[in-house]
Amino acid sequence: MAGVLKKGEKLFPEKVDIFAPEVKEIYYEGNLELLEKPSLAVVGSRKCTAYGKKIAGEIGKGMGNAGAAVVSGLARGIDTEAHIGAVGTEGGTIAVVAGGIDQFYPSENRDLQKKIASDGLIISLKPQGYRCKPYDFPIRNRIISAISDGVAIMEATSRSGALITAECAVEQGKNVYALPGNISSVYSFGTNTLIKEGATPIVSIDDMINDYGLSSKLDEDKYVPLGDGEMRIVEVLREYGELTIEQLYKKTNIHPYDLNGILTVLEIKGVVFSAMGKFFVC
Amino acid sequence: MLSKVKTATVQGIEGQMITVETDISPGLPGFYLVGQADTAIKEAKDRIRAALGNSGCEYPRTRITVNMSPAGIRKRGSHFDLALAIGILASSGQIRDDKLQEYCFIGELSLDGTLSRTDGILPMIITMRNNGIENIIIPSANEEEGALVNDINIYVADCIEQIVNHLNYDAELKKIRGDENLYNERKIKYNVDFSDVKGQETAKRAITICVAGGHGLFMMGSPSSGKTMLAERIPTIMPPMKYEEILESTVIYSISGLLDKENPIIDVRPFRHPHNRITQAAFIGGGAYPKPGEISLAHKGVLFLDEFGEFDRGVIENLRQPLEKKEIILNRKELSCIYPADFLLVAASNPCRCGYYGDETHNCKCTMSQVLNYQHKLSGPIMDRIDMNLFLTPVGYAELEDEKNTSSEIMRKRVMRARKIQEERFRNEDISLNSEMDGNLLDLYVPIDSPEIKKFLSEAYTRLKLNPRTMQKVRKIARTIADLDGAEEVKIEHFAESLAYRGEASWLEY
Repeated sequence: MAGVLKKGEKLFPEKVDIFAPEVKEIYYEGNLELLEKPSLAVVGSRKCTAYGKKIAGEIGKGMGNAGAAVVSGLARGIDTEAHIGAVGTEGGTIAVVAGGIDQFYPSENRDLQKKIASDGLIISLKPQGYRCKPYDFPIRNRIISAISDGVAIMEATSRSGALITAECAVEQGKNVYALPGNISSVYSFGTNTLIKEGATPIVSIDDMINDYGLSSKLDEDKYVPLGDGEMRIVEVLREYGELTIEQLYKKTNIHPYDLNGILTVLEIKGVVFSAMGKFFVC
Repeated sequence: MLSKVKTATVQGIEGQMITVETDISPGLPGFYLVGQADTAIKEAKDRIRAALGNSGCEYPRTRITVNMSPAGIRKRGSHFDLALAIGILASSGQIRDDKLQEYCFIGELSLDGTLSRTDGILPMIITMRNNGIENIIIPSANEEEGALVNDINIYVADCIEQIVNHLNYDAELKKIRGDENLYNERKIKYNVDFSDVKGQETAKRAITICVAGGHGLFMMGSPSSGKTMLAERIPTIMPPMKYEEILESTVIYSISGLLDKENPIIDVRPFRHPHNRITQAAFIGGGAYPKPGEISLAHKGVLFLDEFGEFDRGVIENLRQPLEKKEIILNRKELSCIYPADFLLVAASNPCRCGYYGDETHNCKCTMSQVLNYQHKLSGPIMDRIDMNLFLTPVGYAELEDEKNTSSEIMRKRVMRARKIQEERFRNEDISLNSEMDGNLLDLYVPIDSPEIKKFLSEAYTRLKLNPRTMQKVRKIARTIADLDGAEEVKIEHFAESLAYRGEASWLEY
């Protein structure tokens, strides 16, 4: 269901009225009831690491399953992962886009955007047909924070737009969560700085779910039987977080002949995944 | 008096017999040359005149008419000097012409009468032999190159005086006979070795597979992860060149003018590393008189394309035909020629424009859309023809100090063993390597019939988001891995390892 809400109308979201009073009208497509649910914004840089993407997806899924609406901006990277995690869950997902709701930016998210429109909610401050410009993103970020009860920043470099969302959240008095990362990683510089300045570090997803007064619902048990070599690799990967295949060879002493094969089997079993030459535990 | 002297010219990659007819008749002194000769040949007149004068011979002061037949072919090059000079000497009665028809002559003259090195001599000698010529006289600087051809007497000469003495039975020239057994099973020493590469054991494993089965290889990795270093060492683990291979490669280098005193023949597998701004003509071969390009110079060796994404799309598209047919056909106005181009394709690229996307220690300066743009350039029809993908990460300091490094010799032994198995297998087929198998042969030699393998591959297909083409590549590579293992049948572990080299799709999702 698509339409437009004018300020003063009964359905006009109260949170927008309070936190962004200058907004006069909102274009939407999808289920407006999602705005009434407890909600968490999951945002972060377009350019991010496999770690950030993975956690964004997990938070999206975890919060969605627990019944909270997951809000994000449908941009590349973190936003996309958060939406993918949350779409189709109990809480659902809300995408705040910078252009008109019939515009697809970035174009590779076309299918995801259509899915959210039918399954969740898409909102925009711009009329249909409007193509977003760079200056449309800060106000979009403000709306993301406005309609959410909390904001979780996954990864942000020092100049990321996600930090704007965090600033708005602080002004609007929302909870700000930040995902801690390696202090040597530029992608975690912004989030680590936020934690230093008082944001709540995300230690486990359950903590956030508890903060919302919800209870976590686990996926059905995903127990996969593993062989000896597989166990060894998974243990080492758990210990170090991420390793290249060379490092795995050094740490496990499993010969490259077998190592590649075992890792592929683990990938097929869905226990590990690889990106840019590194391996991670799912 | 009329004389006929035999020589040859090069057309494409083959020689063509040419007869130089010289007639000396009374008249005003002059030199008249007919038969579609180019400038270098027309200039020969002055070189011959000086060379004969400086060698104690006489340049006839009368009318000299020379015809080069067949007259329909354009003739180019300075190697006709010697044949022209011999023709003049024979016509003026300065040399005996009783045995002249058994000889062929190739060589460029210096003003002092010495013979200079000549390019393209090898295909000419081969053609002469095939035309039943028994003796050839060539410059001594081309000795080693000429010695490649067997079943023919090759005489090497330093200067025209020696040739005159030889033909007049005064002093015999040095004679050489080619022997192909000299070239088979020769030990070749390389300047580089895989033991120079510290760490990167998994990459070495992947390269062993790619050489064993002739699979194309694509490497992605940030700067200083060792892409070029690894690629440069690939020829060291390929089987030593056989006589026929040496002959084919040397012919290409001979007509390209790339042989010299230090490298008289190509007995080491070529490693070609063209720059990414290369033009189409230099890449596949070309010019009004076609010359072999980089893909032919890499024949029987490695063609390494660094910064693969930076190459011109049109240039890269040209790789299709050679990758399938192992040769390239160039059609020109006057002739069309076929150059062999049977090479191992190795491509490499950074993950992004600045090179550091995904790198732990450096900061990538590209925006996400720049990264995606850069990587999109790497997809396309040619990537479909590259079987193996490898992601490289820079080695840490600990690995640099590591003593335990697989050397080229060990890797080459493994490759040779797997090649031998393939030779046996494809004895009755017209292919020789696993990478050349088509759908029917795949079903024959890499059957998927056991229920475990079927289940494993179907799970892999959906979980790892494969497509039919990657599936084919995976089966080919699995066959090679099994061969390296000495296994008759392709087992699950072979498939599992080969899946690790599927690449691309999984990187782009990062």
